[in-house]
Amino acid sequence: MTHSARSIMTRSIGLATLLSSTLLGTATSANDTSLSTSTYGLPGLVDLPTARSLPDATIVGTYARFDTFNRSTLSFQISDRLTGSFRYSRLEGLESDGTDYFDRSFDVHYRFADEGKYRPSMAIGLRDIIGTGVYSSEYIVATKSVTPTIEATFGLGWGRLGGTYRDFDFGNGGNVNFENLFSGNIAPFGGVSWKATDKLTAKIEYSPDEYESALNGTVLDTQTPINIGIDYAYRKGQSVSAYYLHGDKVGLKFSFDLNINEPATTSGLDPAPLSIRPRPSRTSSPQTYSTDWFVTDTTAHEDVQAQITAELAKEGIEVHAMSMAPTRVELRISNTKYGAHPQAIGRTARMMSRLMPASVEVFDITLTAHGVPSSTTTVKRSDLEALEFAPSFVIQDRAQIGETVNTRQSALRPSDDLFPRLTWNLGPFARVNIFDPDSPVRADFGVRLKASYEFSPNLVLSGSVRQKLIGNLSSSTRDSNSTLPHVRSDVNLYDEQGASALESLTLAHYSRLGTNLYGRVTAGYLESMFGGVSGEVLWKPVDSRLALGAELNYVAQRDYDQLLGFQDYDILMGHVSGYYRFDNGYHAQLDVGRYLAGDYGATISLNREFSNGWKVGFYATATDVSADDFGEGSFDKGITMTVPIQWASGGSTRKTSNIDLRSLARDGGARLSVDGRLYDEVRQTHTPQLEERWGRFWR
Amino acid sequence: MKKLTPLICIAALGLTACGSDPEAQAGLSQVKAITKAVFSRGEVQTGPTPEEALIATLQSTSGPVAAIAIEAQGVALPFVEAGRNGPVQTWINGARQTISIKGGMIVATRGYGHDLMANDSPEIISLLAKRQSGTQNREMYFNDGSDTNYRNVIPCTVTPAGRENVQTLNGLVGTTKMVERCVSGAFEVENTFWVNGSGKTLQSRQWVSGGIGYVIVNHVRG
Repeated sequence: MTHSARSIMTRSIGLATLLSSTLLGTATSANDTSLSTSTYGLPGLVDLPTARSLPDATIVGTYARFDTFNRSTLSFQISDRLTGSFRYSRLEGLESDGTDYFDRSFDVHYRFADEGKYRPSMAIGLRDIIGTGVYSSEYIVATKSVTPTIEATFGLGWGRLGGTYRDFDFGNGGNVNFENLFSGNIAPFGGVSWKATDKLTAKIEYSPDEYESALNGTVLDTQTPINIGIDYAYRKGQSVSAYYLHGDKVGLKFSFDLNINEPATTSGLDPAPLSIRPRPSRTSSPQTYSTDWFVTDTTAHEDVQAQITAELAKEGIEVHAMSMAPTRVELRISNTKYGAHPQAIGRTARMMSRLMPASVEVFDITLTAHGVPSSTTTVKRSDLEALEFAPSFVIQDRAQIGETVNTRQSALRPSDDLFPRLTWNLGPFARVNIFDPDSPVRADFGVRLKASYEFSPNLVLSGSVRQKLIGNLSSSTRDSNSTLPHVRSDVNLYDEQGASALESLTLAHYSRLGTNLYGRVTAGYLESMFGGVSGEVLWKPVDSRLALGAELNYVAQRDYDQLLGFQDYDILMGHVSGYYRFDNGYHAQLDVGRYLAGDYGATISLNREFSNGWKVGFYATATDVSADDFGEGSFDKGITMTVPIQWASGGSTRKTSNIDLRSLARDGGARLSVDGRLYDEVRQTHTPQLEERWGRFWR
Repeated sequence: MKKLTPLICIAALGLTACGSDPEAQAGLSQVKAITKAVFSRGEVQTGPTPEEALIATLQSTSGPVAAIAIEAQGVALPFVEAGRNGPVQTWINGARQTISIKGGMIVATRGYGHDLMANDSPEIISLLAKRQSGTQNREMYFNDGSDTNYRNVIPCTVTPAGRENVQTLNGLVGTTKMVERCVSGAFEVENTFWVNGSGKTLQSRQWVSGGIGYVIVNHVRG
């Protein structure tokens, strides 16, 4: 293994660096970033954009309200220069029948020039590019610091920022309206902000957007093109704003921000690991290093294995099996606790140094994914003894991570009393559906019983039943009008009839099919709407950034009541998949194949991944279903986010919170949802993921 | 109360007439002032007082014991030896937090959230043991938000600052007070080590990390 200069990052000392323990500088000058946002949730003045970006890897959430307008926006700094926003708006009484109008919109904002001595930051932005077009506008904007506390912004706007509303697309929506981009009136806009104190910023702007909606008459009684506002950052990560729009309406905004690179704690709140127990030197007590025990003590393997299994269990690490030779021991483990596998490897190595006979010099620590061995880290015990207090990249240089060892000198012995075993859990659940076009939030609450019976580490019977107690998920009156087979669009019927549901009941088998090859077969009630058989093969070398996979499913649609019965729709479908983890933290996945409704096409997923476990990304699916047949949204797409609980809590856990903001449940481009897919579990035990989090080895 | 000095005094009762002579305690005035200022903040609501906890620990084990306080938390806790690897001694408290010390200098912490992952500063340790002045680099390693260890190199100047007495279980012991001043840009910390005639640090106050701040260590026994 090699470590690059990346590992030994020397940072210049600054007060902020050392005192806050948070770092991650970018090359961007501080002048190019700002957390001060507009009512649209992007860096801005009151209603208008500025040319600033959010600090890299920052997420900002805002809720802005004035009069009958409510905007909730989630913005993410995708790269140093590119910002993306998802917005959900409620416009009260704006429908023709006087009911509330709900709208979803996306913006992108790209800073293409950095501020220099005389040059301003410059950015280009597209508002509401694939929604219905309520906010449709484009802009080019420049922002320059005039003094350390005052900055001026000037821009040109089209669409609403050009003073004109475009026609709304109340049809299917969901497509980029290319013909509208930078079309129609152009108007100048601009403004000034003054950072009066660290907490207080005042803003004034000239805005061409006068809120004269063609939809439902004039919204604001516009007196002036001038808006004024004030931001108050009352604590780190949170602020409130008040503003006065066009001399007519007063509004309020609340916003929060977080930086993904700043977890609750940098090294975690787990109890300290046990110390390495160094052996006496070989010269001073050579007899300690004798290998006679291997012959004379016939129960040594059994005894040591029982002891280390019990001790590591206390640390949240399961020992599935152990092989023992006079100078080399392999432990096959399952890390059930630590978000970073290197932390589990380090703790296992420490325990081995405490419990193994002194003659054992080489430790092989094999990680498992779904119960099958997926990588082996080999460390020398003498290196562990010498480097216990050295920075983690020193032992990283000495350790080797590779394909599971085949050069075992003795047989693997499974741990006693571990398998078969039954685990179960009864707890509350919440099923939440947010940002629906008809209702901002719908939810069901109830109890869920989950159980799994592990015949062996890689053969698992598991199931989940739930009972709804209260909720309004089934209140959706959106009956499917789809002309495709109703593989997803009958979700309201599933919610209505599935108060008591068998969510899943499957038998899953995982295996190694060969070097770099992994396999899975899952049969049973795979998910709430489909049951059948699912098979998967994955090719993923330990040190590869590329992986390839194939999945084939034969499934039938389940009854709406989600008990044991099936409807008479069945289909053979599946995908071939390519996965690539770029060096800079971006990840791409391409799936090509046949979808649940029998349509053929491809899904592309792009994510920015952080080594602390966060992922933020989007996906889009194009199939041979026409936009008209697909219905609202035109094609399947969505935003996904994975938040490691450990990031927020500080204490180690492998749990994550997964958020999927997607199009409506339509039938085109629909994928099967089956548990236990191989790629994500396997690659976490491989480089580069292991190397990226190696800073936890001695933790 | 959680003052470190009376804590040591009470633990030492019966062995020496602790604290009876104001003059004899003059050497601890700085630590007293610091600990008084900081430790008067939080109160321990339940359980034994720090003094009782230390005495109980001294009685229940025959091994090494240290009294260690995170200055900002204002509580001195008894630590026992968890392990020894060459010149590095690792101390552990009841909450399973550890502090590893080499030649009087804290070289690692675990379990505090913003831990010091490693500290490679042998030249400074050597200056402290010899009670000599000099300027050398400290190399401190922390974990960043992406689980990578990174290094901060800080130039530090060590200077002897006179003789002071330190309270031990065996009474007051004369030491050389060594002051280590580390400055880099706007960042500045000052560490203090009280080193005895054989070069061993008996007591210290050291900056450890942004999250932990200063730590006060008294090597009560061993």
